[in-house]
Amino acid sequence: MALVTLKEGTPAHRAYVIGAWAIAAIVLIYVIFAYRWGFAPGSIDKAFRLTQINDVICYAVAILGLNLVIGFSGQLSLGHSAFVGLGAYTTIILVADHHWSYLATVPVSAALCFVIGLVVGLPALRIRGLYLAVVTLSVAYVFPTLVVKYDSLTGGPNGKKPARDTGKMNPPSWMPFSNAGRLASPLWVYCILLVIATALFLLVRNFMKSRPGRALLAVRDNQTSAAVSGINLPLYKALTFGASAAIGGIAGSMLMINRPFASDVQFGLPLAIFLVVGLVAGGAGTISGAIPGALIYVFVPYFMSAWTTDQRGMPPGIKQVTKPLFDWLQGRQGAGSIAGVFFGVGLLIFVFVLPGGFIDGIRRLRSKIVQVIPNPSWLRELHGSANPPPTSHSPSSGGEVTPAAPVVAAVRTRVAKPVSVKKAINLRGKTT
Amino acid sequence: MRPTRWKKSVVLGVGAAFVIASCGSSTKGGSTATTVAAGTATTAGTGAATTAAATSAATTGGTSAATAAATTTGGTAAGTAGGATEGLVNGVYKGIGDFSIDPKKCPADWNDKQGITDKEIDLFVSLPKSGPLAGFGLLADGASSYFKYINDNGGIGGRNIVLDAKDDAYKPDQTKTNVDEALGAKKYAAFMTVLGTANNLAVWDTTNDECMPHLLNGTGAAQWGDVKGHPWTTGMQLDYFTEASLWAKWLVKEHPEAKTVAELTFNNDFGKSYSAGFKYSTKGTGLSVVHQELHEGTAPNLTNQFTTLAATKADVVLLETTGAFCTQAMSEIEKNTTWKPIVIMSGTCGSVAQFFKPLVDQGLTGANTYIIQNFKDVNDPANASDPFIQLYQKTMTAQGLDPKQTTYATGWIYAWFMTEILKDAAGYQGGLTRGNIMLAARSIQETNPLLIAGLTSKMDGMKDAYLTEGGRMAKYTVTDPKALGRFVPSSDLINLEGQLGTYDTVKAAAAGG
Repeated sequence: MALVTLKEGTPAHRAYVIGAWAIAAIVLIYVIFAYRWGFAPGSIDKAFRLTQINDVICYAVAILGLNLVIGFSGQLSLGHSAFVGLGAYTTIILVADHHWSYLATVPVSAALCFVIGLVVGLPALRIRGLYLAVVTLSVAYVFPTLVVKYDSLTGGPNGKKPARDTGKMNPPSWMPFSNAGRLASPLWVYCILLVIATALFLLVRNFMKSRPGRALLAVRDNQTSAAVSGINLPLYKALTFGASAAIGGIAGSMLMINRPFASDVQFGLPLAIFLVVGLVAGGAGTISGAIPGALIYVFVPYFMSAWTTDQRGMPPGIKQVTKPLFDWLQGRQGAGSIAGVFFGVGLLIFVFVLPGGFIDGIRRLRSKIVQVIPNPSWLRELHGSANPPPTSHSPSSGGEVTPAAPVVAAVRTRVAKPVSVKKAINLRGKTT
Repeated sequence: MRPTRWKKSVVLGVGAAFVIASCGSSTKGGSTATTVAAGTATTAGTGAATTAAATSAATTGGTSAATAAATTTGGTAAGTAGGATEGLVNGVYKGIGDFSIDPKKCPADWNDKQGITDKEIDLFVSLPKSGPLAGFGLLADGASSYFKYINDNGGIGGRNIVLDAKDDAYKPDQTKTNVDEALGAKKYAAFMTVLGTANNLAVWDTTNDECMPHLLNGTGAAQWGDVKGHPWTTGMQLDYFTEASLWAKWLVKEHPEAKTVAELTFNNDFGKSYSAGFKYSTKGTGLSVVHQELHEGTAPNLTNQFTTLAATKADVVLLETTGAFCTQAMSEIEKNTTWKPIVIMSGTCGSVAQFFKPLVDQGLTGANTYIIQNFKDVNDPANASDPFIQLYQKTMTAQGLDPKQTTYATGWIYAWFMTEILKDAAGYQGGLTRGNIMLAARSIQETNPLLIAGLTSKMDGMKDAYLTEGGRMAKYTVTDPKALGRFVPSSDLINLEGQLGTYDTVKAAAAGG
């Protein structure tokens, strides 16, 4: 039983929801002023750390896009790195060769990736599961080769970057940090990326609450019954691939805004795999899971590598234990690979401890502290009379509020919870 | 299908793959060829390519080793002018060859004593320590081992040299992350031996904007001679453009009967650098390129290319490629019974164990292939009496490292240059500062003791931006077809010291076709 129970719609519940969002917003905004206010945990007031945080935002968007295909429509796509790369190269080529501004390239990346995504999604209409995974993996495999092949356009293996003086995005003078020296540019990039990412997260969140969003879940849970319910499977699958690729493309553009340099190895197979790892580690089928997923992708290998190379910044207790190992590895070929071993082992442990991903773990932890009791009448009020009241709750609840009830509430507030399609549709009293 | 069903198995698989991949890549990256190897195998080249026997023990190495040992007393204390004319004069760093640095053009918070204290000089390197090219990570350990030797013998005027190495897995974006972090840390005096062409290209604008000495790059691209556009960046290796010029000089001198040349070129900067260098140096000679075959890094084999090349019946074939393609090319040529050209191969494929061993396994030899060498092989018994190599063997063994690893020796070469730069800088007006380190890096006059006797390593400010520009042709000679052969010197030294000038020469040559 949870420590605190909150009834939906009560002031306490509203304060809880608004408070959580407010804290998140304050933390995100605080990053901008950390250099001025002095308190900067994790050196968030340093240009390098800010660039890493910006990376996290970019990869969170990339994982969000991947989630549309894998987490929400249930199709295993491993080719997402190619779309991120395509978006990145679109931006860098337009900026470097055609002198576009960075932001103007973002819609172009999105549109281009949407079209290519649709095309790549075509096989998804006929094949499923692991076969689709192999087909999409080939896209990820081919992309770096194409980059090298068309080196006059992409810079080939030497990479592509804008002319020396035009690489940075500098803040307009009205921004409070416009004279913060080296920090000005990464802070400005942070603001821009944060706005883009917030917009995309809200977009996806609202989309998943809409009818097409529920239809997508229906496709994931049971294609046959979805089709029987009148969902146009080919249309939904192809559009999902397109939308996912478009978001991936935007993520690529964002990466270039943050660090204007693109090379073939950056968007190869490792990125394709790591995005899936980030997705699963964060929590497939959850929108917020993209954020811990991206944090894991950016910071875990970074700290692993930093600790295995010079053990600086490592927690002192661990340092004593691992020192003989690193001393022994010193000067041995491929000693740096030990970081990869640790990462692999860490991932294995992670899957056993948090099988549903990071977000699932947080939710399970939260459910031990706060429990939100659904309040159907409040929901009816909130959504107006357009939706007739649900005919029945889940059979086990029997009208009484039991631990099963939050699941029903979850369908209302977070469509992401795996819940059977019939239940999801019945709740709205509609069958699409 | 719910995601939960396959989620666990996917993650399990990926996790296991990480473990396997990480363990797997710690073995020597023999199959690193294909696309990535292009700009990189070069470093192996400098270390491993020097497999030939050095002609005599009477090398200049003797004196140079003495120079190295003299480090103990060398390096006058900071602040003493030492009578040198170079250094900080009237607010501007002035070096030789019209090279100067105006600190006013550097960022406002630029500190010319950053990373230099009375006790320590902090240096930074980013290079692969994981991934397929993890073997190159030993370069940093080799360099550190030489620095340890220097530190144990007094350091640079009492200062210890400390080299911090970070892994970038040969990914340029990771290199950029590492370099950004190192720049932000504000604790390094200079960067040295950042590995890989793309990796250095990714960061050199930033290092130059930040006025960070970015020295002795671990790649042979000709760009590092761009003293005008990137005064803070220098290279070390014999660049590919010059290597191909050496081929041309050798052919003209030793094989005047050869008239037609066919090229097999890796379709990237690396391959095209060779091609441009060869054309540049054959202008006005009787040599002409009759055909050029390009190949991609993804080519499964070179059979088609060699069918076309053989049809030209050219007198000479140039193998401007690297990695496994070298082996494939030698095999194609040897299997052809009617076409017997002079074969000249990129120095990046000089490792006998790596590139010739597979031929022996196929019943072939690769005999009579020529390559350019410029550094001594530390493992060749003929070099055993060389004082610097003796010092290397002794020091490595004492430090518990395997002297047979030629990548360590390559690390010693880089570290030796870095040490000389620091010693010179300490003697300039104003003492050991970052500005003076940069001046010293552009004014190296000392000859590296591991260079083949007779070669020089010199820089001359704006006039000569390339350090090593010479070499010797060596022929792969096989006595027993079932065993590995060795490289035997087959020409006098060809030293083009100072002739290439700067990257402008290369750009003009490339533009002129």
